[in-house]
Amino acid sequence: MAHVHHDPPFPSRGAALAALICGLLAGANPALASSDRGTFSIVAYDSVTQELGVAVQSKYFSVGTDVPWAQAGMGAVATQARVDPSFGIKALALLSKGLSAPEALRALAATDSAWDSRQLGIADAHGGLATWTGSKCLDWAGGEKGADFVCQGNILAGPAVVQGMAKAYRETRSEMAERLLAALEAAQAAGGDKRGMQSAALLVVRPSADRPQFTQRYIDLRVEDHKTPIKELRRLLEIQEGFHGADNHFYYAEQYAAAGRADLAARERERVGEILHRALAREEQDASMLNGLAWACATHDLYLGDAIKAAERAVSLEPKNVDILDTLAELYFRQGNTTKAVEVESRAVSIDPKSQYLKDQIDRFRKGSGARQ
Amino acid sequence: MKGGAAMKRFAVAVLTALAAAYPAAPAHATFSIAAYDSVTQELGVAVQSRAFSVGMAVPWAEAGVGAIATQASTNESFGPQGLNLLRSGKGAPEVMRTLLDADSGSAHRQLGVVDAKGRSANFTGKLCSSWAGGVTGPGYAIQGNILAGEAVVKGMERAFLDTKGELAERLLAALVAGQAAGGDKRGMESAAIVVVRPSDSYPEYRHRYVDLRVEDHKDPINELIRVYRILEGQRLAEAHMRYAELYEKSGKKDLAQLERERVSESLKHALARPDVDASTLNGLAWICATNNVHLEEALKAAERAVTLEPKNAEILDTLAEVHYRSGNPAKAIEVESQAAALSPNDQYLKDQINRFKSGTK
Repeated sequence: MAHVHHDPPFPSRGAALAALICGLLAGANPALASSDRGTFSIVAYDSVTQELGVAVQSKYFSVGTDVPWAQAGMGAVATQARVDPSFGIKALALLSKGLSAPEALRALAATDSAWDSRQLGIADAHGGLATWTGSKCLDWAGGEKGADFVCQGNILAGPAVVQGMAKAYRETRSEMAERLLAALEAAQAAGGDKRGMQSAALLVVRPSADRPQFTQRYIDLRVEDHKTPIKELRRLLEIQEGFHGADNHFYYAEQYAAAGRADLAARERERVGEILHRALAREEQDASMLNGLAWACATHDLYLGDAIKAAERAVSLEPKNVDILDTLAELYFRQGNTTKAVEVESRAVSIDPKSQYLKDQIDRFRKGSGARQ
Repeated sequence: MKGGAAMKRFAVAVLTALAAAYPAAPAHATFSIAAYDSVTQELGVAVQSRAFSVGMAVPWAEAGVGAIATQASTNESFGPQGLNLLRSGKGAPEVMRTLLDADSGSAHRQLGVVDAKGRSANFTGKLCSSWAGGVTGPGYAIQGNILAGEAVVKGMERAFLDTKGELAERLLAALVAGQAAGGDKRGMESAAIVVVRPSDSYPEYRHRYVDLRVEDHKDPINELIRVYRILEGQRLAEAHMRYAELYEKSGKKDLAQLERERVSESLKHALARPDVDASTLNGLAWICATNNVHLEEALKAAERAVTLEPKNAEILDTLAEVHYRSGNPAKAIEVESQAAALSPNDQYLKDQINRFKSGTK
């Protein structure tokens, strides 16, 4: 029988289903009792980048399968408490028809028989926001609406959890994914889900004409079953930023520049600087992540000082890696230090004497030509 | 998908039109399978790679539409664009050609497409790093690059065709076989499985019937199977009973029976796991009890759950319910009385005992 609440007034949806199937009147279904799920989440919209996102943590398995839904240009949704995952799809469909977040919420309420037990957060792509906590959600349950986000949770340690989320989102100065994750971390620090932790997810979507994948998955990370899922999500986001983040920001910088928005292009490039700065500050251990970041900066002639620090750190982690030495050489060259560039690239050649590319690089450095052939 | 500095360089190099310097398609060692089950109409993709978060880039699927794996020097836009083309009614081979024809980097791409009629196609660009290639058959496309050899995709095909059971099981078996045949030359980092399934009542299944990720792990395939086993004992068992009910209603008794058998298979898998947890066993036993199916196995599961957590009143209640459903009210009352002794204020447990005594359902 139910390990949570078997008594009325709200048998689980699964139990109701089982009752329908079998015509039985017995209590709740233990497999489904977890449908009253302690969860906290934040849903946000960034009017500058037009990102929409959801971050969530819960004491049940694979919260990312059920709770977060988002589509660029439409909206972002978190559906939780007695979770009906179809609300995610239904809400996005309503938003795509032009309803605002509050209107979509009302439309869902109108057709739901268990609305008192639901919790939802919705952000639309025009700044509209809505959060709902049914009166039968388990204590402590509630939500808060900010200027550009909503956050909500149930079976929480107390109202401080939601307040902490809101404060962290407001005060974190960075891109949306960082702010969402900071909100989860603050919620956990304020006591989080009374029952503990098991899974977490982070989903951010962003409009793009020629990279349509970003409209569904700009950042999409999952921790399905883990003792410290938020910490694990942080670890994954750091990897993601190194491998995809810099490339993505440079892509948007070029898009903005082409559209005559030099201010927004500059902001995207600053995000790369922030990623680099964070990686150095935490003494990143992943040489290939550092190398990727440093190379991205080199080829864009940006943040060369920090990029050299990152490349040197990568070299100290993997001194025999020719690719990393080449990155460091390239950075020195871009910085105008031809002597150092040739010296480092010569070390690479001594490790891989057959590489024509490395020899060409040295020739290029000596000739002082600004671009790679 | 992207991963590793080499790919980063490739991406940046292309971006800045300096592509000549670096060998193309370097860092995308990956193997995947996209497949269709004509009975359940499930579509799915399973994938493993030596790149971070392969699940974010490679697999794309929508029920009634198709399943796509896009990899090597990954053009992720093939996922959403390919699904759009499939949605407009084009078949898998045509969609694949349309995507590749419009892509100047197609020589570096690898792509597998299966549509909702079971047509399949795949493509390996001539500049994909060796070994690279694939196999297709009715309802499946298997492909990989930077592999130990052709044996990897052949092994995946054999495992997919030989494995019985639901699509997710067959996809996972293919990944295991791919790895056993040498897999990805550069090792492992991430894995993912997506299965989608048509449903009017539960539209979420159209996008996420099974949707599990391992983003960065030393042993991603085994970790993916570990989390899949959790899903199987919980939400997937619930889903099977939902489909069984829907099939019954529409008069498809054979399909309803198949769905119930899936729950029985899940129970067997759970009972076979030495590290299975009490809550999985309890959940499966309760689903079987309340649906009056697989009561013998449910009894084993409930008894084992009680062994693991003897003082858990809810688990005792499940065991009592299974006894009652199996026609053994005396045992049911005895076990429920143990539960009532542990939780004497629980009216539900008293009601259960009364119900068992009166013999009502």
